[in-house]
Amino acid sequence: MRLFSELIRQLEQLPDGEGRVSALARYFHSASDQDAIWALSLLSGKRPRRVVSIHQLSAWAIEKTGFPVWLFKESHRQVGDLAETIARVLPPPGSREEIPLAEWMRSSIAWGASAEEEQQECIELAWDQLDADERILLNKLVSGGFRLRVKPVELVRALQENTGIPHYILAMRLADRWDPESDTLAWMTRPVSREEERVQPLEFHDQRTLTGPLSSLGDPMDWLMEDQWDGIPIQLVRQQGNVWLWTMDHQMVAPLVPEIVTAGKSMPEDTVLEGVLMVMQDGKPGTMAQIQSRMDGQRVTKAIMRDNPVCLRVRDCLVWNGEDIRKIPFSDRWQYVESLCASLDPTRIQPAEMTDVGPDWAKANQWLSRGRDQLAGGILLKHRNGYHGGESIKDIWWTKSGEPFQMDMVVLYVESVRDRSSLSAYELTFGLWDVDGFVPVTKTGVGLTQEDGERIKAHVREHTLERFGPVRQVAPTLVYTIIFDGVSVSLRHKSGIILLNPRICAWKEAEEVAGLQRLSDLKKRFTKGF
Amino acid sequence: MIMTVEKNRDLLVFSPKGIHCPIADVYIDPWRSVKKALITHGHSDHARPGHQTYVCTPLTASVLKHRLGQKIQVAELPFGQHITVNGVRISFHPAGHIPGSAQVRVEYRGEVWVVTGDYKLHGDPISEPFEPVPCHTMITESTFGLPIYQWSDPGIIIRDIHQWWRECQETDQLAVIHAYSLGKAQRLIAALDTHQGPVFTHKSIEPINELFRRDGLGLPPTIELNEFHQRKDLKGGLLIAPPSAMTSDWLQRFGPISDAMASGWMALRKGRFRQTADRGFALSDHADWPGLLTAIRESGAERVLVTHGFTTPFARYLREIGLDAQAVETRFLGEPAPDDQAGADAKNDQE
Repeated sequence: MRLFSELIRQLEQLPDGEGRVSALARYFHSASDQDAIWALSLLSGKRPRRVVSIHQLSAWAIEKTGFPVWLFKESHRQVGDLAETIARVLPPPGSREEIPLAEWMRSSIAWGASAEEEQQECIELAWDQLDADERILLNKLVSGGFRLRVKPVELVRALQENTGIPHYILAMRLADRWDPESDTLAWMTRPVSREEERVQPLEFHDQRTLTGPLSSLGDPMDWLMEDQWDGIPIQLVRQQGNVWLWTMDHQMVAPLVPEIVTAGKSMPEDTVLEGVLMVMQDGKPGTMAQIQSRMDGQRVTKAIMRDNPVCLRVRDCLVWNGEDIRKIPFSDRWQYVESLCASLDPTRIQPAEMTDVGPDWAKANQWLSRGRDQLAGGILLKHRNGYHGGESIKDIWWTKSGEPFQMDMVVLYVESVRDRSSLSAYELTFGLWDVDGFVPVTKTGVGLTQEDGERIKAHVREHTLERFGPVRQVAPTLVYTIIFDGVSVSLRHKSGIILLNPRICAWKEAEEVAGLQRLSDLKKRFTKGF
Repeated sequence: MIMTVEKNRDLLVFSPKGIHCPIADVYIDPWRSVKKALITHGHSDHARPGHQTYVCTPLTASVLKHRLGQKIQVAELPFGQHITVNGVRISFHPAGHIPGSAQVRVEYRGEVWVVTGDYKLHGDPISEPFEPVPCHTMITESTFGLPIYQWSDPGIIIRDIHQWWRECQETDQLAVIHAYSLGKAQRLIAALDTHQGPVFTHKSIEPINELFRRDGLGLPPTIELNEFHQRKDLKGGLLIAPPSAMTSDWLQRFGPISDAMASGWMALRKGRFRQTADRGFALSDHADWPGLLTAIRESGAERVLVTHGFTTPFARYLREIGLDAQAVETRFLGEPAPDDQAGADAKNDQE
């Protein structure tokens, strides 16, 4: 437990990044095989069942120390965590002994059946052999309070560093069924089998941003288009009775989206689809933030699945029934997509909605200029005869972002930013009029010119209403045009919305604040499309 | 429970200027200007400017002259000697907090009071070890007066520091420890193995090192950082800087760095998370919970007045184990409670 507790200490203090991966790699290298598989299980979010409540542990600690209950409570108030309070009020260990993690986990699992006195005896014996950090860990493990999150990608990178097994193979194994009670780390890092090689993701379709005009693509009759929604590009691999979902950077996300896995089980064997994973609520596409929250999670609960239901919008079929069809024209591949999806749960896996561009670019331009209710980020253009993996213009999927939205808003707060990494000297909070006052809507400093800086400085000097640390509340008279790429709903914000990618466009010199559009106007504009 | 100490009968009273002995008309660590101030040690919350006469141990006297100016009037009172003022016998006894730090013993007609100042029972290589002083009434600090504060053996912490330093050397990062420039810095320096690499100091620390060396304390050689030092000059080294240097930019030119904070507040995970430092080492110059209880027991005091820190719960616990104990309101002593953030930061400075 000593090594594992040291690892936990390091992980708690290290921010994301390489440091964490090498700390994990060092641990997996030095820990015993059996401890390591338990650590892998705990860190990948498989929380052990609670065998004793934290309050029971507190009671035993109070009994052991002989401290009055109020003193324990006072200590808890200072520490803020019961597992740590218990660990620290106890006297120092009588004899420092190493308790292997695996041994402890196995014996504590067996405890369910044993009597309370036996459990107490066992815990107190352990407390007397461990230092404070190890006791915290132990208390959390037995009381079901172990919640340290390590991203699967960090775990697999660490294992790859030690074993050389490709991280995506490890990710797949981690996502598969295994049990720390019967499996070992050696088994987890066994040589790659031929079957495993076959479930690797293929190259993703080349997708690029079109910088020139739409007409640079040639004859519009050759092209199909679809809305570009916020989501994560995914390859779905149906292989050996399983469904694997890969991201472009070879992360295995199948365990995070069991709905899709279930739906994908009805697909023919040895088939690979490419698409976009997105949140879809009552037929309405969700935001990037929503899908990201699904991807960041470790445990998929019913509540998460209910609040952010996911859907795979299929864009292409790469392999069908064991046959590689990447080198047939896209419109033929699309037939496979449509026939495949016909037999799948359409709320989970559905073909993207594509339409002909038509005889000229007018319709595409209309989509881009927000001339209809849809509020996608832009459009994706696909050539009817394009190959998957080809390099000519027709083989590439072209994206074009829609024109940004704009709205005039008033400056409510000004914060000067000294951080050198920041692009501007100020962060401004912009607001709109709601029922009975201005409500903050967005905060940005992007797009401010030197001139704007001077203007804001003067405004702060003359019109500051109140100070909150580095923030100045100013008289709501300064108006700017803000441009943004979209709006998403947020219950955490007073306005109820967040603007996506907001930036400052221009100062509205003669703008009368009273004539500005209101928050309700902004909401109306966007809820219409949703 | 917070009480006002009866002012008339007591040998020492809490006045708006600080702890006062009315018979001798001397104050102990006062925070407003007085005629005669007995100073336990040189930390700025105990040794303030503006008193007419300072009475302290010889080492503290050097520190005060360095910090408050050569012109202050100081009377040295070494350990083991005493002065008598209007029948009150006053002496200093080692407190173990930092080199030269003292507890103040005050005796009048057979009644003995001790003011501990800041103290610790764990040994360190340079401070005179804490000496239990028998007394009737003890005025003790309680900075860490909760049972959650139990220090690990300082030897283990020093070993961890060396281990971290080695990791920094292997990854070519400069190891930086933030420690208060008077006391904690020197305690660390004395414990560090300079065979592992050179030890650099911030300009606020080196003068104190010199002062201690002149007094015969065994500190290994250190190098004061100056504006000409480049990153390559510090390779494999360990730099000791005060906590106030933590957020400033000057360290960046030596980057990449790994920094650590050495303080008792690092004992709790909460303390470590609050810090921006990469590591926290729970190395304290204050008594922990068992230390406070041992000191009180060994003094034989029947009455205990508790200041600084977790005064209320600590005094309550002392009452429950049979002592006549009272908490003296901390703000009265010009010390913020450590459980608010600002207070914790301020204490870090002196810790």
